[in-house]
Amino acid sequence: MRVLIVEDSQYIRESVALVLRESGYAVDESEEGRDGLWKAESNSYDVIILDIMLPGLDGLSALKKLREGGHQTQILILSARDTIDDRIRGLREGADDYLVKPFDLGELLARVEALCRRGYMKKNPLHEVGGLTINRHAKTVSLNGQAIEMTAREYAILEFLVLRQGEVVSRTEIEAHVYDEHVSPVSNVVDKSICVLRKRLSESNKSAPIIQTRRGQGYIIETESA
Amino acid sequence: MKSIRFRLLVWILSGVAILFAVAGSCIYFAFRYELVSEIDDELQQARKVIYNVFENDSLKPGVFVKGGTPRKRLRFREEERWREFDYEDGELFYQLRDTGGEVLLRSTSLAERTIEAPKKLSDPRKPVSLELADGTLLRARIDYANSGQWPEPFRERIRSEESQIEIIVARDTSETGQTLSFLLAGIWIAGILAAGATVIFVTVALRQGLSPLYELGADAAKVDASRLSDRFNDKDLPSELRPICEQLNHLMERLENSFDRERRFSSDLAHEMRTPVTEVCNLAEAAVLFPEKVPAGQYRKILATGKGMRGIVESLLFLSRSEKGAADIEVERIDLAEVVAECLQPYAARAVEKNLVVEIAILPGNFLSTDLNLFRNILNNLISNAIEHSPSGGLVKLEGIETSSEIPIGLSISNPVVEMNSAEVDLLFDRFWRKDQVRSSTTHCGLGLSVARACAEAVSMKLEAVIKGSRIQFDLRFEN
Repeated sequence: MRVLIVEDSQYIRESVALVLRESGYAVDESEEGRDGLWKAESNSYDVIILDIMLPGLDGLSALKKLREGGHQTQILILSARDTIDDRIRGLREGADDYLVKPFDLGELLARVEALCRRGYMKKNPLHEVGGLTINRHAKTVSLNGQAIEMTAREYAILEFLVLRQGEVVSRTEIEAHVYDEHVSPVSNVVDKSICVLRKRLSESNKSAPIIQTRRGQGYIIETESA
Repeated sequence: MKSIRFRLLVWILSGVAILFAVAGSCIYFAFRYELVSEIDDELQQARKVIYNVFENDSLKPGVFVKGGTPRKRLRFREEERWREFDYEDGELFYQLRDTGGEVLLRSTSLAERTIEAPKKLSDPRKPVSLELADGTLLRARIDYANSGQWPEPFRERIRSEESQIEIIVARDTSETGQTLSFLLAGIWIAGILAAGATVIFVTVALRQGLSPLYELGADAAKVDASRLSDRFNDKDLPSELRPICEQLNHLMERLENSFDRERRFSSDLAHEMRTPVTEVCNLAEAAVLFPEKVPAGQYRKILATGKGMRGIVESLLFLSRSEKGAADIEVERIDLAEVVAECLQPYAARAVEKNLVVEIAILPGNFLSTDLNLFRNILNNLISNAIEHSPSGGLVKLEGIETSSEIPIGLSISNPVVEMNSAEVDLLFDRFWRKDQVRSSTTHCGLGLSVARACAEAVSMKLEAVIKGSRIQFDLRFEN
């Protein structure tokens, strides 16, 4: 999952980014309203964490422009403005959630997870595909009841493919949702990660590979009926 | 009871009672005077009639002989009205007595009763009020035969027999007294009824008249913190209440402004504190969750944020103390140029970085008597603002404000300013007000100028800001 944080306070931005990255999210940062809007329009984020009082362009204006531009990204407003009117205004402008400062990082993480689930229309944190089970809350993967160890990045790719189960997901989409802006678009990190992921899954499963390749198109996890 | 209605009722009722008492008294005494005057006129006429009777020889001198018989009655043939003397229940009386007190002649109406005249009369020509032994009240005229009031022929005849005869003509005034009693009772009853009617009328009238006041009071009672933008409608109010309504509306305006400032202060304070609190909490939480991933400088960040919060709290505490007049002041003689140079020093690097020109126009050897620490605090805030908010390449000017005798009375600091109007200048000294609504600056929280003004007031100085073209100027001077 890829998250954009638009927050002018350096310390808050860094702390939130650290916690999200350590939780397996790809995180981009912006400290200014215009720059944040540009990144939001240029990339495909699962969630945008947006402050309201920003230099350059305030958060509500950026939010309005994003919604007017047809962007459906889940947006969480993070603000020191705590009145009911402020919250109503933020939600009416198109935000999906509103969190008032000071906040708990754990709560922020839970809300980001909830927004990601909502984005993929999945309410249950447990997803099962054949013998594969992933717990999005605990960030764990098991195959036929046997736990599988994997890195945060590998988990993120698998989670993204599971959430898009039955759909062909291109390398570009995986890059956009799993890797942050610092990853070179010409690198083959996605292919390498998929390769490693398949290896881990095949060690516990001797049947057909769960992640299948569609040549020239991308990767897919088939639905059980298919 | 302190209600206006009760007070007005008491005053109006008292006024009506006094007016009624005066009017009633006037009516009573005028009527009484008229009745008594009529009686007096009648007595005067009766006296004349008695003269005539004597003059017409209807009575011979012999009848006045003491103890003589027969005693004749006077005969009043001419007018029927005087026959009342001769009725037993008549109300007109006459009586003639000699100096020894023996009744020589009396009217039939008097029967066997005797009219006792007072021994001394203040004015013999004026009728007097008397009372018979049976309690009958009389109005009487008393004459004496040798008093010179009688006609000459009569007086001569009297003299021939007796030296002095007392002649009394009187009327029974019981009926007049009864009439006056009825009148008085009528006046009392009318007065009581009028008082009752006045109470009812005044109560209703006051209720009607004061209803706009009650409505105004009811409108005022509806005012709370959420309705301070409401104003009282003075269109339908009586002219007496309009000035009150205007003052109330002015009061509402001032209250609304004060509440707005308080709300803004609370909101700004919350925001100024929420952000650093969030920073500290998040930095600490991240360090607890992922200690191995936290960069080495994490504690320094927490410390820097904590110091910023401490600065806000100290500034607020200082403002609170100075409002109570509890700031410690130690007046000493300070060299203005020296203190200005000292306070400029920490900002020299930033001025160079922004390519600012700092011009000082203060004569050397100028001294001010003030508290050095508070004065430094003012200068630090003003210089910091001037350096921070001047656009690059601008001119920051510090000038001494002097009297004609070159005695320093203050200091002015000016710098170029971008997009600031007079309305914003009015807000400059409000706590937490910032031109930058985003509040992204971490070095300024919007308390500096509030603190500077509080410091200035603590040392009896005045700090004001004024826009002069594209520059803003802060004048700091002694109030007197």
